[in-house]
Amino acid sequence: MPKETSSRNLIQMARIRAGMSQVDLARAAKTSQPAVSAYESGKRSPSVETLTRLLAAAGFELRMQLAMPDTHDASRKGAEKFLPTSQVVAHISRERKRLTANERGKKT
Amino acid sequence: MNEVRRLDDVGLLNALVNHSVEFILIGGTAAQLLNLPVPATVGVDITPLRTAKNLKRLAEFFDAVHAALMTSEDAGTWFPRIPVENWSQYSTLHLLTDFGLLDIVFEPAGTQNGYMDLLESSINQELGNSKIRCISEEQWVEMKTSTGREKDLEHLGMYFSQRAKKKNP
Repeated sequence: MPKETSSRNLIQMARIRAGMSQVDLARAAKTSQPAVSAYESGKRSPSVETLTRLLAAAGFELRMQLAMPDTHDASRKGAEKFLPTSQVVAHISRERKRLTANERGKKT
Repeated sequence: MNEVRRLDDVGLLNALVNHSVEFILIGGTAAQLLNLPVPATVGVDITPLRTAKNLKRLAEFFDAVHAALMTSEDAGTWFPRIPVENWSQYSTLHLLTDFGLLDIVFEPAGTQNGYMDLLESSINQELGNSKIRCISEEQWVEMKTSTGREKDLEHLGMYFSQRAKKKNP
């Protein structure tokens, strides 16, 4: 069973977009900062009620919808085996370097 | 089956430009070009203009780069370029080309009219000797938000987290 990661990203995204700190969000959602931190780090998964409350405290609402499974990434992954391995590895390495430079505020 | 000897995103995009295909770069390569803090997977995603003239140019481009359909069973199946309606009726085409993987996404998430919806806010980016149209950072955020997929939320999380870090180091 794949681990659910949407909640933590939604909470973090909503908080940052609202310009709130974890303390601000915790206060607004009537919970504690360690709880918000645990949700954002993925150490704990909130219930749907808690998630709804946290997002509302940041000024957002949770909308859910059913969708067919997305096959794009699986098909890309499957296709990679038909590509030159050394070049796929080089691509991944270049991307890692770019992201590291990006984090340090440099352009590659 | 196609044999891909090299992965060359720039070559692929230049080939599109050389065939006068009107398109907007989306997806991971767009994020890479915008230098967004999210990893780009191998392959190029584009949203082409869906007019008869442009689809004809796209068909010519398919021939030039030996585009083949990717399916779960096969690495590359040749498909007839004409009539264009045969392949342009689908919302997405996963292709293998001489330059690597190419996804044609006529209606990306968050749009109803694909290219036309993206055009106004898209930006021109220089790529080698060519200029290509690319989604803007705001559009990238909007598209990722629209899909609601876990992977996209993960990328948005990375994006907003790093943006916040840069704002308040």
